[in-house]
Amino acid sequence: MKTTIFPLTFLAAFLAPQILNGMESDSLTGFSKEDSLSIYHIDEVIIQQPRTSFFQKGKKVTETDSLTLSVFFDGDLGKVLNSITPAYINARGGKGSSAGLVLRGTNSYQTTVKWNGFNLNSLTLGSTDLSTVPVEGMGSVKIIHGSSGTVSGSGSFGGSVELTNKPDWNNRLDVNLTTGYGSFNTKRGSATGRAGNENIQYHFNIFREDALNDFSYIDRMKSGNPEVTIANNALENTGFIQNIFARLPGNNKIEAGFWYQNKVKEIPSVMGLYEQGNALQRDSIMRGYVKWSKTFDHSRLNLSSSLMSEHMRYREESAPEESSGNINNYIAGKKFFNEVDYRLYLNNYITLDAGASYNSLQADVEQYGETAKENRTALFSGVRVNYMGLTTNFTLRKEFHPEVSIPPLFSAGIQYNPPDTDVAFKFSYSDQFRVPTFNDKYWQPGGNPSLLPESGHTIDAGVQGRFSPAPGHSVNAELSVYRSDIENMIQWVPGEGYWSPENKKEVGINGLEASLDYTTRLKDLKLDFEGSYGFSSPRIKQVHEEESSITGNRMEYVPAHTANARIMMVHEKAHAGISVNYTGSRYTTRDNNPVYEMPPFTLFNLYGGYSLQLHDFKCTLQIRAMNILNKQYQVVRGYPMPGRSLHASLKVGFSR
Amino acid sequence: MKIKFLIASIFLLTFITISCEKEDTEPADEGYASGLVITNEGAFGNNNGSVSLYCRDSAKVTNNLFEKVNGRNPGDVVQSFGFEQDKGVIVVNNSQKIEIVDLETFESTGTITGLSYPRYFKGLGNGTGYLTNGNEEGEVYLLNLQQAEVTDTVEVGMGPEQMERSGDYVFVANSGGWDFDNTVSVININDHSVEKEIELGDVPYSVVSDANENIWVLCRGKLVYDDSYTEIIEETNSKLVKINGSTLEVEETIVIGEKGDGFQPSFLTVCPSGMELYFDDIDGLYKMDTGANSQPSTPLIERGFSNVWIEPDTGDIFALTIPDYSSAGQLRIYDSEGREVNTHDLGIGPNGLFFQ
Repeated sequence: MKTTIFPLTFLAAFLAPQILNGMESDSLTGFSKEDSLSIYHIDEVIIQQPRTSFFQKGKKVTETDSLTLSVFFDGDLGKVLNSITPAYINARGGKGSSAGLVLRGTNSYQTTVKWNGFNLNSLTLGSTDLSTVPVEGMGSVKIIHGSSGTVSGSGSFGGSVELTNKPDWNNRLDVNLTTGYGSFNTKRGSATGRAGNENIQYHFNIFREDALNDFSYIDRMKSGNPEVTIANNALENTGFIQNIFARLPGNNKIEAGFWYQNKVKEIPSVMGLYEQGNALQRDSIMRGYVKWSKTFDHSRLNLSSSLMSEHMRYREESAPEESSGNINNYIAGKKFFNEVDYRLYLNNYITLDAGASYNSLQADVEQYGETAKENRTALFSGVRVNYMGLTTNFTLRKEFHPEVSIPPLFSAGIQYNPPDTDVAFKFSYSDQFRVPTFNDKYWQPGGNPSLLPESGHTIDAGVQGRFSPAPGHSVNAELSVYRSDIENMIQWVPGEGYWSPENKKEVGINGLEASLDYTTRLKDLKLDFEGSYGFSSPRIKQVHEEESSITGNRMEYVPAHTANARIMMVHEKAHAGISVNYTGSRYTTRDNNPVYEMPPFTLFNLYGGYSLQLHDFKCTLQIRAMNILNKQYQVVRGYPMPGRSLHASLKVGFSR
Repeated sequence: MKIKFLIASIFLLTFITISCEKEDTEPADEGYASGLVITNEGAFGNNNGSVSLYCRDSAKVTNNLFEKVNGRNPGDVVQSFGFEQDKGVIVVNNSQKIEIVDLETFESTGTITGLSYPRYFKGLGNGTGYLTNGNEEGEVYLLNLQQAEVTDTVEVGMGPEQMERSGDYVFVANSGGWDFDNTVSVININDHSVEKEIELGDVPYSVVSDANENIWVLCRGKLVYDDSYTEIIEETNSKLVKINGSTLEVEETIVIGEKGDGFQPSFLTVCPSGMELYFDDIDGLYKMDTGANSQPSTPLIERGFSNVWIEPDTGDIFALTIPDYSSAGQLRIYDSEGREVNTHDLGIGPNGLFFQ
């Protein structure tokens, strides 16, 4: 079936221009109706759209607005995602603690996080620690819900997060200096800037944050439920991100980025322990990329290359020194990624895309015994057709892996916008595939080199509508339902003394996502309500014989219900708001024992800010009160989360 | 009006039904002291260890007993349980503590914390007891359960594990913990000093006494992997070693298993009559007369267990199985011939059965 779809996709793409010659285009796709086929104009936004965005029609996409990025500018990516989507963030404690993204009932290693198109997921762990992604260094954050394996490659089961830095090609200079202070001895300072003209742009962000993270919590795992202050939980996080963009003669563009970060985090003992540990984790990351693109009359060629390295050291000492119980793990990983992509705008209706990528991965980890290496190659193609409000895209990907035979992956997306309406009907189908990570295969003890890769598919359907019930009022609502089937899902399970990964024969995930955005104006007051709800039911459909008792059970650490709502008010130079986040109960054991079920929790947060403008200078004071009801809760069993906290920041900006 | 009456009736009926339900933590007449206590260690780092109780009269299991009575989880890696007069001791290894409970109510009466690596408790019959502790340099703590405090410390071998009392002596198996040892320390309970250190097989772990007051020690044997845990680089025989409880001399050594099979037996149990030993090997559960001088040729039950206990009245074999460390383990009851007769779900990772 799949092997016949591959040539058919190409055939359809090449025959379509003749069939559709003379058809009308539509404005929703960015093409102008007036343009003739021979001299048609292609919107620059469309040309510059990376494949990861261009071929996502039919999927639910959530983008952050500038206010959200402004409110959480000093936070990590997890905070932003938590506030705008029904995503579940698997955080193991306060600021700086490792946090994974759970989208649509999958695991954190089944969701990709990309920076300007390059996959950030750790090649050893397979996931991105959201606590290492500073929001301030990103221009925009976009979440593409649902599987996008044919576009994003191995592993994008739950969806992908696109972090982008974009130039605006204005002749300008922006510099912002920020300082912030908050509860639990949290301090942060940063500088961001943009400078350039219509041909060259430079962005930078440099930051430093320290936190003692010495919050108190009720330890219900200790006798008498004492209130204790968490120890060995300090954070030091330093880094910088810079990007340069240049428009060169001959429709050439070049873009480069560099990201360095060093995070040192103490790891506290879990609840119930009387002796505080001394574990320490140091993460150093270095990421660099270069992109070159040339735009021709009807096409564009894009070459991109990135080199990313990650170093992690985990140390834990137990008395006496030199004890065999001491832990000193070192992990070093290196990813070299190269891609060529050619996109042909055949006419106003049809766009073809094809390319290839080459990935070289290497990890030096003591626990592997020897250096792990892997080279992966992929060929991919895509067709996007627009006609009468109907946009369809088909993509195909064939990955070549040294150890695993990966079948061609196919995806299709359809989005229909009925003429003269702001309604969109969406449907998408996508194959998905994920090869085991290095840790899955080689980590000793526990790693299993004979693990099977995960595979499956996702079907997604939705409707989105924008309407204005009255002048000055606008509503944007979207509802999506999805079904995902995953075979041989890999899951690490605890064993006698250590954890090890194993394949679950078949997991099925049903779910829905709903969102509502309502904006109105009352004189000078802009009122914005955003709400979203997610339901997901990942269940074990089929297991190996000896585990038959867990058939039908829910996957661990995935809440059935998540919801968030936020009301923000903006009045000239001031803004204020309140948000509420609800996370439903989660099972923590595979037999779904209610005794170990994590209870649901609801968090309330308050935001406020005021700006003063004086000539080219702007001064903004922001205050954020998180968990104002001082809710005692845990996301991961045994890892307490902070109670009520207050954060204030002062930003001084110069813009010309 | 009718609807209100109906709702009121439903509430009343529900209340009556709930009130009449027998609380499943209700102890047997004699309290919890007469039950079979089963420890479920839970998954390391997950704080989901628990204690189950098998009531011999009703043949029912109560899970999460400590949590139901005390409103909190006992902790991370519930290693073992011990009896001493009207007190029970729950040893919680990774929480580095013990919980002392009242055997009438199972309420916690005290907690001793700050223990580096607690393993097993042995009551001495006078309100005190010994606790083995340490994953390298090992010690045995003398505990006063009434005061919930450590009153004395006896230095023993490395990684001390299980203990058995014979007269005035307590035999401590020094497994080596995270290192290596091959000794049993004999503590004189009168002055809490080490009377003798006996060298026997590698990695002593379990200790029991038979009907003739001999001490049997299970030596698991050395099993050393390379740094990547992929290859065995050293392995020695697993052994059962018999020590004369009076002379403290080794009288017999029986090699069990086969060197090269990559297996370390994990438990040794004696039946209530003291005439038969039960231990595990790679191909299942073995039963051996204390008078035998070699391992039987075939296992009694061809299945792996994490521990077993023999019912004193019926001779039934109570065996624990762990499917994984993220779901309930099982108590499997076999008759004395090895035929499975009943199964009960327990907590996560059941590892020990304790009865006084």
